[in-house]
Amino acid sequence: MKNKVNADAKCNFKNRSNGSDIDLSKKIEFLFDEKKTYAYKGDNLASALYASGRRVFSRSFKYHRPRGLLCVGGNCPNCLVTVNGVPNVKACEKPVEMEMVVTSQNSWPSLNTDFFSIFDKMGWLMPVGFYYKFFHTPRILWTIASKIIRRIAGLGSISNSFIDKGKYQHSNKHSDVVVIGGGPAGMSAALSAAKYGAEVTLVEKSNYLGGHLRWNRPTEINKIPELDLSITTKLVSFLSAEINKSKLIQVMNNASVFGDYENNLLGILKEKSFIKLRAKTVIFATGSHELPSTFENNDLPGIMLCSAIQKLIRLYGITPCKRAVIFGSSDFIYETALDLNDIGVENITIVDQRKSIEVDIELLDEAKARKIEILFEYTVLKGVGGSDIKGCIVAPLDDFNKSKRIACDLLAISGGFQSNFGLLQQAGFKFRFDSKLDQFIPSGEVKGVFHAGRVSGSESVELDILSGRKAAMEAVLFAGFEVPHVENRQKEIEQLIENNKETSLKEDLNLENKLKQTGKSFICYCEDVLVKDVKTAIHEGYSDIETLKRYTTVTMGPCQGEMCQNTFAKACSIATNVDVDTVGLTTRRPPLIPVPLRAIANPINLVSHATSMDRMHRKSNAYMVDIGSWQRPLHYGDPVKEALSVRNKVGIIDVSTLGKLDIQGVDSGMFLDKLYTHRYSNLKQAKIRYGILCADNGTIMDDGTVTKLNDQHYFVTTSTAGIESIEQWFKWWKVSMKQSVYITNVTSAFSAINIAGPDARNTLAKLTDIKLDTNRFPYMTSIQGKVAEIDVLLLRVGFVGEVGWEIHFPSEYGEYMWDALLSAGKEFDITPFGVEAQRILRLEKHHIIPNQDTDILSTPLNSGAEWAVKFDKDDFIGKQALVFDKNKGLDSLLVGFIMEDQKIPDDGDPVIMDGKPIGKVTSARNSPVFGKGFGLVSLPISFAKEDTPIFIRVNGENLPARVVTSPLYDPQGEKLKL
Amino acid sequence: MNPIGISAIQEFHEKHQATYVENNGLMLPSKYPFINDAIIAVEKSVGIHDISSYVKIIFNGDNILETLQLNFEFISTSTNQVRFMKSLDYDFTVILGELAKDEYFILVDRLHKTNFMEIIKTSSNRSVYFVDISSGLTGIRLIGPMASDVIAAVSPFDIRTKHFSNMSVAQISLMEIHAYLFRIDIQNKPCYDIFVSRDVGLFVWNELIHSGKHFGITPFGVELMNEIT
Repeated sequence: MKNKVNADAKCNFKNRSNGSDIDLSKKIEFLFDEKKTYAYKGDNLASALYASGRRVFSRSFKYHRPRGLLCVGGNCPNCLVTVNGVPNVKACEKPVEMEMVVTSQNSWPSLNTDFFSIFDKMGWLMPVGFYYKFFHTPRILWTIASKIIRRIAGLGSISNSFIDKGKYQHSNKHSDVVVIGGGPAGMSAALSAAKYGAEVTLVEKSNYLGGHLRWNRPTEINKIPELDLSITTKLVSFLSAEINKSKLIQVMNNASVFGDYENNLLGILKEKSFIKLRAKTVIFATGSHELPSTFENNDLPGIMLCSAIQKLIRLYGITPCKRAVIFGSSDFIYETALDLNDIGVENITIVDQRKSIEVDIELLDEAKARKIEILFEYTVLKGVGGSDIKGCIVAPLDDFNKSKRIACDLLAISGGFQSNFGLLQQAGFKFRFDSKLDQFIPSGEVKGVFHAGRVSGSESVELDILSGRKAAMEAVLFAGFEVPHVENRQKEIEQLIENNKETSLKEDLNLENKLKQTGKSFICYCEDVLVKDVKTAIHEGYSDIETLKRYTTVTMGPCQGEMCQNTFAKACSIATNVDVDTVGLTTRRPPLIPVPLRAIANPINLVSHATSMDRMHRKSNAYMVDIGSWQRPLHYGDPVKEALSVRNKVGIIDVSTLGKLDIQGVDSGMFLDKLYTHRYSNLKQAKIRYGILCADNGTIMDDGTVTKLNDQHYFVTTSTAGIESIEQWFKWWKVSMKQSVYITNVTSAFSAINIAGPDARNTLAKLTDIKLDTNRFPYMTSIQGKVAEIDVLLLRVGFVGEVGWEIHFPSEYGEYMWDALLSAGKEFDITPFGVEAQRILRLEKHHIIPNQDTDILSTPLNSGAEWAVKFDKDDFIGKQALVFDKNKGLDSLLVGFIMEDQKIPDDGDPVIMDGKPIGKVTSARNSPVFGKGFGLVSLPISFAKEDTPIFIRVNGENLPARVVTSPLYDPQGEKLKL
Repeated sequence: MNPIGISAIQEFHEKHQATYVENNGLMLPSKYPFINDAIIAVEKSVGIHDISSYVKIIFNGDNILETLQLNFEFISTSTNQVRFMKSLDYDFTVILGELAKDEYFILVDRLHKTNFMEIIKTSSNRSVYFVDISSGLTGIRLIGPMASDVIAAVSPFDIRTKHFSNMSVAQISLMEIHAYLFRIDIQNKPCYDIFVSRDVGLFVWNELIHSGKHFGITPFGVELMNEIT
C-alpha cells in the first residue's frame, strides 16, 4: 500500500537555518576559480556554490554547453570540478574544507565565457561517430585532427607539478553478512541479520544513515510488527539508535563499494583506506536514483531533478528558486511542489503527463488548496534560456501545436527512477524491465547474494523494511545461522509483503511521448549524445545495444549509465521496434567509481629473500644481484681472480639458496626411487648420489643430490629456482602413491657454504675433529659432526671440480660460520667467490644447470647424463618416454665447445652451418685457466663429435669453434677425489 | 670458540641500538633504549617482539600424541588446537599446535632445548618423525588490542575471534608468504605469534612495522616481555 504523504507537514526554512546537514555556527572559506566563497560545515561544494548564487558549474564534453546542478547525488557529470589539483571531483559529494582550492573544468578562458561554446553552434558538423567518418582523406588530416581532438577532449586535467601525497591504508575484513546501503531497507536488513546472531557490516557511502528518507517529504507508515512508528521522520533516528546499540553491527560510513568480485569479495574505498571485505553473504540495498526527462534543451542550468530539490531544501536549507515548474508523471512531483511551497515559493506550476484520476487524492487536494497550477496531460517540449533557465514551452500531449511558454527560474523534472543495479550486475544478477515500475529490476537468484528495498523495485517504506527483513532471513540461513520457527517467519513476512504491495493504477505511458527528439534533447549528459543521435546510429546499422553503446559512447562517460541507461534502452527499443526487456542493459564492470591507482597499488614491497650471510657479503662490497627472488653476490670485485683462487688455493661460496628437503618415513627409499631416474633405496648410509627429476615425458625438471642419513631418513638438495615446484611435486606424488613418507622443506633451516680448492681440506681441518682424508671421507659421502663447534652435515661433493665440501648448518650461525672459515683460511689466502666465478668453474667441468643448459625438450639422454638413468629399475617417472627415446636414438646432444680465437659468445648465440642455425650455445664464458672462450652447446647428433668444427654467430660474425666432449678441466675427475 | 647465533632481524636490532641478552647461544634484544612507551603500546595498541629464539620442531607420523604423552602431560584444554604440555621429568612446558591429524608444530623455550631433544630422541619410534626447523623460521610476536588489525592489513585470513580464538593455530598467507600463525593470549591481551621462513624474516618484520605504523606499532625486547608474562 502506498505511503500516505503527510500533506500537512509544512517545513519552515529561512536563510538555510533548517538544513539538517549544516552547522551554521561554523563558517568555512574556500576558493572557487580564485574567488573567495563561503560555506557552512556540512555543506558540500555544490550546495555551497549554489547557495552563493552560482548556477553554471561546468561545460559539457562536446558542445561546451553550460551545465548546472542536476541530481545533487553523485550520479551525473554536471558538477565535476578540480579540487586541490585533483580533477573530476563531484562537487555534490565533496564536503567543503577550509582553504580548499576549487577550479572549474573544460572551459577557456572562464566558466562563464567559454570560447569553445562555438561548438554548440556547430553540432551539424559533429554528428554521432563523426570522428570515424571525417578527417581520413587525405590521410595526413587524421594525424593533425587526432592531436587537436586529444588536446580538447576530456574534462579535467592533471598538472605536471601535482604530487599525490598521502598513502592508502590497506586492510582485509570479514563479515558474516554485508549490507550495502544505509537506507531503510539496509538498516532493516542489518538489524534483522544481527538479531539472528550474524556479524553484520553495514556499508553506506554518505556520512549518514537513512537514505532517501533524509530528504523525502515525510510520509505516514502503515503498521509493521516490531515497529511502533507512524511517520518516516522518526524512522531514521529509531533505526539508527537500534543499530548503534547492537554489538554485532559495524557501520562503515563514507565507504563506497566499487566492485563485487568472486566469492563475495567486495572492494571498498573509504577516504584513505582501501578495504577488501569478504562476506559469507551480501545484501544489496543500494536503492534507486531519479532520472531526467528528455525534451529540447533538457540540460540547461536551472533544470534539476525533484530529488535534488528536496536535498537542497532539507539537507542544506536552500531555497532554490522564486518561480518553479515541476514536470513528470508521478506523485513525486506533487511532493516536490508542496516542499517548495512550504519554504515560501508561491509561483509553482505542475506539468503532469497523467490524467487527474491517477494522482493521489490527498496530494491533489492539498496542491489545489495551495493554489498550485496543475496542467494535466501536458508535457514539456523545450527549456528556454542560456546560462540559466528562463522558462519552458509546454503543450498538451494530444496537440503540440497548442504550446505555451511558462516563465520560471527552476524547472524540476522527474523522469522516473532506476535501481542502482551496478553491483548486482557484477554479482551475476540478470535484469528484466518492469513496465509498471518503468525500470529494470533484478530477476532470478544468485547463490549467497540477496537484495532489498528500492533496488528490488519497492515503492514504499513498508516494503523497504519488510524486504530488508526477508533478505536478512534468507542471508543468515545461507550463512548457516539458525532462525527459530523459520517456516512460520517466512510465511509471515511473505504475507506482510503481499499486503503492502501496491496495486498499481499506472498505465504504461506511451514511450514515444517520453522521448522528445527535436533539437538538442539529451540522452547522455556525459558525452553530449542526443536522442536523434541514437536514432541515426541505429539507422546506420548499430541496432544492438552493445554496438550502439560503443558507437555512440552513451553510458561510457563519468556517470557510467546512471542517468542514461534506462532512457538509452528505451530509445533503442523504439527505433528498432524491439521491446525494452529484450534490448536489455549494457554491463557495468568494476570499478563503479573512479579509484586512484595509488589506492590499488600494493603498499607491500616486492618480497626479497636474503641468506643468513647476506650482511657479510655486503660488508665485503659484493656486487649483489637478483637471482630469482634471492639476493646473491655475483662477485666480490673480480670473478676471474675468484675463480683462479679456487683452482689454486681455496675459496668459499654461500650456497644457502639451494633447495633442501628432509624426507623421512619407512617408504622414503622407494619413494625416491620412483621420483628420480637413479636408485636410492640401495644407497648405503651416509652415501650421496646425484639425481635427476624428470616429468612424465622424460624431460628434466630439476637435479640435485640425495644423501642417505639412515634407512628412513634422506636429505635432498634441489636447485634454487626449483625448490617450490619440486616440493609440490614430491607432496603430490606422496598423496598419489599413499606412501608413508614425510616431506619437510628445510631450505631456510640450513644455510650452506661450499668450500673448495687445493687448500680446502687444510682450512676445514682447523675447525673440526672430523677426519677429512679421502680414505675416511671419500668423495660423494657425508658425515654429521661439528665444525667450529656447530653441529653440521658435511657433504663431500664437487660442483666446481676441486676438492670440496658443502657444509650444512643451522642458519642462525650463518655469520659466525662464514667468519670462522675466513679466519681459518686466512693463512691459505682464502677468497670468497660469487655466482659468476662458480659459473665459470662448473662450466669447465661441463656440469649442467637445469633451465640454463636445459629447456623443455631436454632429457637426461640428450643432456649427456644418461649415466644417471637406471633403466633396470621397475619404474620411475618418465621411464617410458626415456626408453622410447633411447630406442629411437638421439637427435641432438649437449656437448662442450672451445673457441678457436679470443672472442667469447653469449649464452643463447646460435650455431650456424651452411647459412642455417642448427643449434645454440647454452652457456659460455672465458676460461681463466685456458684463456679461451668455451662452453656448452646443443647440436644435432651428427655434429656432436670430438673436434667437429662449428661456427658460432657472435655479434653478426660467424666465428670458428670446435666440439669437445670431455670437460676442459680435469676431465677424469681426479682432483675431485683427492 | 663460542658460537653465537643471531636472528634474521638482527639488522633492525643493531640499527636501533638494542641491548642484548643471550638465550642459550642466541642473541636477543633486551631493550631498545631510544624507543619509549613500548609498554603503553602493548596496553593500548600493539607491540612487536622478536621471538625467533623459540625451538621449533615439526612432528609427523601416526600416534604423535601417544608418543609425547610418554614423557609429557597436558595442562590445558584438550579441545583446543594449541595446547600446553608439561615435561614429566623436567621443569618446562612445551606448546603443541595441531596442524593436521599427522602433523604437529611444537614450540619450546630455547633454554630447555637440550632436555627436550634428549627426550624426543630417546622416545621416538618408527612411526613418529621430527624435523628441527628452529633456525629456519623467524618468529614475530604481535601483542595488544590492535594486533589483529595489523595482521588484517597484510593478510586475507579471517582473524576475527569467532573464527580464530585464543589457543588456535593456522597456516596462512601473509604478504603472500606462507606463515604459521599462533594465537596464545597473554594476560588477556590478544597475542599472535607469526613464524615465517628465515630468508624473508627481516622483510616481514619491516613490512609489519610499516603497515602497523597506522596503529601505533612499537618494537620491544625481552625485558618488557618478561614483565608482561
